[in-house]
Formats: sequence, C-alpha cells, structure tokens
Amino acid sequence: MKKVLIIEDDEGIIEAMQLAIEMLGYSVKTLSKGDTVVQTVIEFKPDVIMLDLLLSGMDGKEICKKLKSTPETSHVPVIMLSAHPTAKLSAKEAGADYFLPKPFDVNELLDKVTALAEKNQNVASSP
Amino acid sequence: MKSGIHHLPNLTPEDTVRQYKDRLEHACKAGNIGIFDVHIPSRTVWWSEEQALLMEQKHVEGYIDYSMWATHVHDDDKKRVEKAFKTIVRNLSSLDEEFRVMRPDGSYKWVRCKGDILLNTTGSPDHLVGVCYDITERKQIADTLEFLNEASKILSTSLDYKTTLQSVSSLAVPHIADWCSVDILDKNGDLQLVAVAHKDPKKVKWAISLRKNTKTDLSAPTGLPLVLRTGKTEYYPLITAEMIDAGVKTKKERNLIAKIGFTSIIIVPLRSKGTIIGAITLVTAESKRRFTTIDVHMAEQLATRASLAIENTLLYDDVKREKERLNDLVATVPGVVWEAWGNPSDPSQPIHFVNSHVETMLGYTVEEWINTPNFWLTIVHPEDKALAAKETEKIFKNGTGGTVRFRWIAKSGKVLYVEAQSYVIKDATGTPVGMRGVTMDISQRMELERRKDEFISMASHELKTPITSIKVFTQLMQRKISQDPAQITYLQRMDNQIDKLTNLVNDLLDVSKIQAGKLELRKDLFSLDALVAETIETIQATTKHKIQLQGSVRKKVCGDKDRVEQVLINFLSNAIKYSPDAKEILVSIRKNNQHVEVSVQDFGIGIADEHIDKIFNRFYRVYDNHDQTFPGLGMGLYISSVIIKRHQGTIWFESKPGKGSTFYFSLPFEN
Repeated sequence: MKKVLIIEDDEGIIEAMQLAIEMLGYSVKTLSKGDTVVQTVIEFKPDVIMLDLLLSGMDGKEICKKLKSTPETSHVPVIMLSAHPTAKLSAKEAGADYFLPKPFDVNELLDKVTALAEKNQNVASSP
Repeated sequence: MKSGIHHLPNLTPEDTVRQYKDRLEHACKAGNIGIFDVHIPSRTVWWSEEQALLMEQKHVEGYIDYSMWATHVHDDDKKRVEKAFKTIVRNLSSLDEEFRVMRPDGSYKWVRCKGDILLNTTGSPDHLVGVCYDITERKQIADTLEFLNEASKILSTSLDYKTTLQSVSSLAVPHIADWCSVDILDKNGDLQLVAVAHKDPKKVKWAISLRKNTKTDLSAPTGLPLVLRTGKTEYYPLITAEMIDAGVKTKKERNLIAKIGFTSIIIVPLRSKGTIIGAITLVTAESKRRFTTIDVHMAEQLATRASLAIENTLLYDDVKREKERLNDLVATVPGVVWEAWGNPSDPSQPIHFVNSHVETMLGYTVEEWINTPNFWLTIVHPEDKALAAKETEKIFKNGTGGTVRFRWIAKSGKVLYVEAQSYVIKDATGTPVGMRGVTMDISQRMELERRKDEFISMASHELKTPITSIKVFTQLMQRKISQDPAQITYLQRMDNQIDKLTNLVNDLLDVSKIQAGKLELRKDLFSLDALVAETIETIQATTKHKIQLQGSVRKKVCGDKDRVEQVLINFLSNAIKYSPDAKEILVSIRKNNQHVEVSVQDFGIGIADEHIDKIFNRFYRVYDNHDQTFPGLGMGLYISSVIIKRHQGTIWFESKPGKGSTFYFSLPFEN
C-alpha cells in the first residue's frame, strides 16, 4: 500500500487532502508541526510527502531542505503547497519535486501524487 | 616803453601815480574788493574803504592797530585766521583764508582774503599786502550743493522715512537754517510732526510739546496750511511785525512767535503719487539770515528728493508687508516649501529659500539649508540618493515638474519618507533655470499603506486556506455524485465560483506585493504564439463569445510566462465582461519593429474619454452612463500595466463608447 505523509497546519485542509488521497486507496499520515518530520519519514517510509510552504513553527522550505539533505529521506518526492501562487520559485529552490498553488484542483493533486508515488516505487525498487 | 606801461602824455610822475590809484580804487569799488596792507613790524594795518565795509567797520585814513581786523569776525573763525597769519609770517608764504564777518543785525557774510608777504632790504617780512572779497553767495551755493548731496545720501540709505527725515532735518541745522521741521498728513488728514531740528535740544523738546498741545488750523490763510492746500512753495524772505500782526489771533500766539524770533521762512510741499502728503519748513531766527532764491531752489530740490524717498519707503513697506504675509502663509504649510536656482545635479546648487518648517520637520535650521550647497541631497538616505538626484534632474530638464519620493534623515537620525512636488522655473526663453516646490512628510501615510498592504497580504493568505478545503470537498463530492446531472451542474458552478474567489484573492495579493515592491518575475524564454493560443483555448471553454485569433510572429520573448498569461487572461475576461451582448472577440498578434504586439478587441460598451488617464490606476473602476455596474475591484488592469512595464513593454487601449474597446500590450522580443 502506497503511503503519503501530509505536513500542514490547517485542520480543514489536512482533512480534505486526507480524504482525497485515501480515495486512491493510499495510507495517509498527517503532521501539523515540522519538528519531527525527518524522524517520521524514516519510520513511516512514505512514497510521497505533501508539505505546506508556510508552516507555523518550522518553515516548510527548511524542512524540505533538511529532507533532501538527509540520505535516508532524500529520495522521497516532495510536493510543496502554498497560498502564495508565486512561491513556486522558492519551492524549487528548497528542492521540492513539484509545486501546487492553493487552492488546487483535486484531480491535479491526485494525478501528481499517483505519478510521483509510482516513480518513487521505481526508484526504491531499482537497486 | 620797454616795461609796457603807457604813460599818458604831459603828466608828472605824481599825477601818473594818482591816476593809477584812482583807477584801482574805482575798479575795487566796482568789484567790491577790499585792499589791505599790514605793516608787520609795527603791527598796524591800513585798509581801503571797501575793505572797511567788508569788515563791517568805519573807514579810517592811515594805519590803525592791527588787532582791529577781528572786531566783527565770527568768534569761531578768529583763532584760525590769527594762526594762519603767524604761520605765513614765519614761513614767508601766501595768505588765503575764508572767514565769517558778523553784520550788525546778527547775520554774517563770508569773505575770502588773499595776500603776499613783502620783504624789506634785509630780507625780513615787512608788509602783508592783499585783497579781500565777499564769497557769501558762492559759499551758500557750495553749502547748498553739499547739503543736497548729503541729504540725498541719507534719503537713499534708510527705508524708515521718519528716521530719514529726522536725519535730513538735523543736517539742515544750523548751516542751512536755524529750524527745520517736517510735517506729514496722516491717513485721517491730520498733521503729524515727524521731524524737527534745532542746534539746541531743549528748543527741540519745547517745539515738540508745543505742537502736541496746539492743533494746527489747516484752514489758516498763510504758512503751512496754505502749502498743504495749494502744493506751492511759500517763501517769506523777511518776517515783519506787520505780517505777524496779520497772522496771529491771540496774544499767546504773538508771544510765542516773538519767542522764536522768525527772520525768514521757506515752506515746500512733499508729494507722493501726485498728492500732497506734507511739507518741509525751514526757518531762520537767531542767525538773522535771510533766505534767498538760492535757498528756495535748494528747499524745492530737497522736497523733491524727500518725496521720492518717502514714496520708495511706502512702496517698500507695502512690499515688506506683502512679503511678511506670504512668509506667514508659507510658514503655515505643514511641509518644506523651497526654491532653488540652477541645475539640481550641480553639486554647488544653492537653495534660495526654505520655510521655517524645516526646523520642525528635520531639526536643521533655515541657515544650514541656505548656506550649504545642495543641502537637501546631503541628508537623503544613502540608498535613495542616486535615484532622488536622477529623478530631480529629469524633472528639471523636462521642465514639466513632477513628484519624487525618497527618505530624508533628520538631525535626530530619524528616517522620514517624503514626497517632493516640484515645479520648474523658466526664464523668458523657456529654459529651465530653477525649481520650487513643497516636500511633505508622508511617513505616516507610508506606514499606514505598509500596514494595509501587510494586512491585505495576510488576509488573502488566510482567505485561501478555507477556500482550499472548500474546493477539495466540492471536487470530492463531484467525484462521488455521478448519477444526478443537476447535482453535477450545481457542483460545477460552485467550483467555478471558488475559482473566481481565488482569482480575486490572488489579485489582492498581487496588488499588495506590487505596493511592497515584492513582485518577483521569472525570466524564461517562451513563445508568445503558443501562450496566446493556449490561453484562448482555456478561456474559450468558459464563454459563449467566439474568440478569433489572427496572425502569428514566431518570436520568443523573455519574461515570466505566468505573468504575461495573467495579462492576457485579464484582457480576455474584461472583453467578455464588458461586451455582454456581443458574439465575438478578436485577438491578434503581430510584429512591430523589435516588439511583439498583442491586442484583444471587443464590441461592447466601450470607455468614455474621462476614464482614459485613470484606467490603469489602482482600484479604478469604470461605471457606464446607466449606472450599470460590473463586478470587480479595479485591480486587473493595474496589475497588468505593472507586469507589462516590468517587462520593458507598453500597455495601452483604444475605445469608443458604445462601439467597444481594444486593449494592447507589446513586449520586446529576443533575436
């Protein structure tokens, strides 16, 4: 079963995204704070990470950089989300694999999650 | 004959001498020239009849005691002439002295004495022989000229005419007159004594108190009242007892006049702009001097000059009052009002004027501003300096005037945001020669704007959070409900409305970014043909209007593709919105020099001329004549114009009310 980790501080969005992704038959874990992300990723081993760019507490960009620089987590694709449609550039700089401006189209979200989860499967199973 | 002297025939030498003597006497009498001969060893003097007359003495034949010469000489001159006499006897030089001789009536005349020393056979001084003549008139003319010169100097130096007239009066006394007074008619037509002079200060005090206590009768038939009425000079060479009798009304007046002891009077009018404003009165009393026509002429000259000086000072007072009024007015402006000459890029450019508000606003004194070249620029925030100088120079060179914003650092170190509105001063040929303007402290406004933009940014971000989950839930619902077509349509409409809401929030966010100077643009090469085609395809799906595309350029432009798309979407959605009854929209793309030009034409309500200048302004919205309102916040075209300008492009439109509008943008393409 594919696994998706959502890091987002708004409950309404967490709930909606969880519902949508679970419709794909994936297992979803959510975090509302960024301080334990790396540890959670190592333990939970998600296929895709959904990360809000502007988190209260730890900045989403910092989290992304940390994930991408940690060998155990760097291979996991990250989709960054932001209410600032122009944050695409900073998301790319932080090393995100894809950027989705809020509010997003559910179909686009699900297509991207599926595509990245498949790709990660390939990467993970290639050695 | 060799000596050139013609002896008359048949005359004895004695006769000849007598004849010469007679001739000399006649000539001297005719020329009023006195002859004298001082015998130095015996300290005696001989003088001719004319000489005795000049010295106001009886003529005596033969030599008389030398000391007799000084009997009627003015006390102030005696010692000087005595000393000169001793000096020439000692040095064997020539005599040339001028002195005053008192007449029995108390007046005096001026005489000039010239003579030479004759030596005896042993070489010692024996005689002083010379002539003497009356120089009163010449002296008077010289005095008059000197007085007028001095008076003119005084009149032109001061701008307080009362002080000036007092100085001139004092100058007139005692050489020109014993008394000099100046009267001016005030606004109520009353006579004001503005100056009075006499060599004795006690008498001046007395005259002033006298004038205070007695009101001048302006209807009196003679004197000052007559001059004030007619504007003509009054000249009384000699005041007689009969004249006084005719003029006075009371015994008190007579006593008064007797106390002053008038001899001679001149009263001349003072004029300003054709009206009589007062008079100068010159009086001789104790000197017993009688005024002559030379004095009258002098007095009139003096009056003309004084009149001119008064007129100048009155004009100056007017100008000064007006200037003070303007200064007061300028001081109340809550900003720096300034004027500067020359090119603002010139580092030595002086500030010519600043109002006192500079001290309140920035803590620097007006003097610091005036005395330091280009002071305004020296206190501009280092980050703003280059731009402020450049923009100001541009305004100056264009000659159009304009607004520049920058930061000033006050003396206290406080940073102020200011806005300078400048106007260009031009010379007669239209060449810019200086600038003036008002610079206002807009820190508070900037702070409010900053807080507002921060609020908009935060609010739009916060608004998007619930929109995001609403959208997800709506779309999830769409996925679940697939059997009822009505439900599917309703959910589709909800989704469309959520997208509109999202666009509004995005526009708000863009506006706040632009205001905060944080609108970032990517730089990628992209094909405008492809972008236009894709955008039309997306928009076509949402409208019943047929969108027609004409032309292609096969050129790439460098910039932020998403942002250029945003402009195109804005043009298209405006075209749809403002042509509700039209069927089509024309989009065309063409090459124009080094630019790609894109236009979107609609056949809708059009835009009235009054909106032309403001249509790209922030929050500007167009209402049509029927008060028909169209949704929107007036942000789209503003954002579009900023995006296009930031790409070094141009944005404009053409429109006819009732016919429709065409909006254009053009961007430079890459070769």
